[in-house]
Amino acid sequence: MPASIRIEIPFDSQRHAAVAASTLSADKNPKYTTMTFSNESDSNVLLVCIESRDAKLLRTAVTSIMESVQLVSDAIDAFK
Amino acid sequence: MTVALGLESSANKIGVGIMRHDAAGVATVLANVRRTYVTPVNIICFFSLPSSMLTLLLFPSVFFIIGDAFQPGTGFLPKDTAKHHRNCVIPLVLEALQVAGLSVTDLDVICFTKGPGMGGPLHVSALIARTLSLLWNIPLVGVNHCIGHIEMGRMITGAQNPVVLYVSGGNTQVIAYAEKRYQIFGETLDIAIGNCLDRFARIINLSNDPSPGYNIEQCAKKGSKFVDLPYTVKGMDMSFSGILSHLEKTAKTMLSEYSKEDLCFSLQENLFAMLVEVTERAMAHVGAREVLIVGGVGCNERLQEMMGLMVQQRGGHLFATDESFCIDNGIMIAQAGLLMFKSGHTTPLEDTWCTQRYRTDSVLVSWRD
Repeated sequence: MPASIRIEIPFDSQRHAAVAASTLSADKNPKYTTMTFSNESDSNVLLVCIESRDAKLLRTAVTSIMESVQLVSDAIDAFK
Repeated sequence: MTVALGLESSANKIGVGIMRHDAAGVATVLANVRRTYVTPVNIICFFSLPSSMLTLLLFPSVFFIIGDAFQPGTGFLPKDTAKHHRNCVIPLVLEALQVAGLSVTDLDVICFTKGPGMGGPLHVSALIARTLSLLWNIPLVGVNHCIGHIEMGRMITGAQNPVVLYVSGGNTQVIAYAEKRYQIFGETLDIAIGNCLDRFARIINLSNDPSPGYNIEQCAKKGSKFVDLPYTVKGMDMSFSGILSHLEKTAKTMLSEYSKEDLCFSLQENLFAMLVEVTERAMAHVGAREVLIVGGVGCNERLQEMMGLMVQQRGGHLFATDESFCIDNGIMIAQAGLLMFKSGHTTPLEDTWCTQRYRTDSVLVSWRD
């Protein structure tokens, strides 16, 4: 797919990054977009990869996923 | 003893509840907290120039204010609602834990609304549920919102096997339990009754605070003249969008002859009579002696009164709950989730996605005989 982005978000620990990756992976992909979440080589960095049909869809996906990442990050901080 | 956390955010309310079942199965509400997103009020003055230049020349005083200078809010939109929920949810969960005097590690199961409802808002509860579950290794249960209402109604009122009338802004269903399913006997063919009421409130400029339905109810108490409106029961089902279209077209002309109070009164009498008819038909069909009203519209005392009269005539009993359980709340999700959990059901992480459509009768009610 023509439009793609790779976002790296550091977390406090490998465990927290893994929690974030699993939490976000459970959702179904939006239309014409694929999103994958992982923490590479068990590091503390959450890796978000998004591929979309076009730039507009990609931008929508990024906005929405960053809101979700923020919420998950805040939840981890509040309940760890 | 089993303790469940319940998260609910399918519409404009976000609720967190904590429920405990002791070894004998006796249920105790440990916490039930909620926040409601009420769309902000607009202050608008309409100024309009007549379209033709000729009129402009003939009538110098061309500026006039159309409608009220003080407009009520609009319906709640998914993005803004989800944002409200994202801002509230963490403090709300902390508040619930504090009220219950528990910490996250005391929870045996985390329940959340899987659907039906609005996608963005629903998602907020799912994210929090999953995060808590993964952080502390607590199992998850995805709950059907309608079943949450039913199970909470049953638990709070003690109704044994009622015909359930589920009426809210998003759902209108007549339900009866049979063979491990909450069967839908009748439902709306288009919009929910609460949706019809909410949009009517906007037509006559009633406030959204605390909710449009509540304001219609208070207004209706002062009404007396009855105006004929379309009555649209179709067998076991009902239709509301036609009534709404009719009101959208004729409300302004009707207001010259009838007051807002009269319109509210007439609409309630009309809509609630439709609900009573369909509920009575279901009662007759299954031979039920009990009716349970759940969902936000179930708070309406006039509806309870009208339904009560019908049920009494049939020698039966009406059950209704107060607004802490009628209106969407987290404790109902905890209750239904706990029943599911105790009957051996958990939701694996990969199935914890939310869905806007989730039929009440698609869930296997394994916890009942």
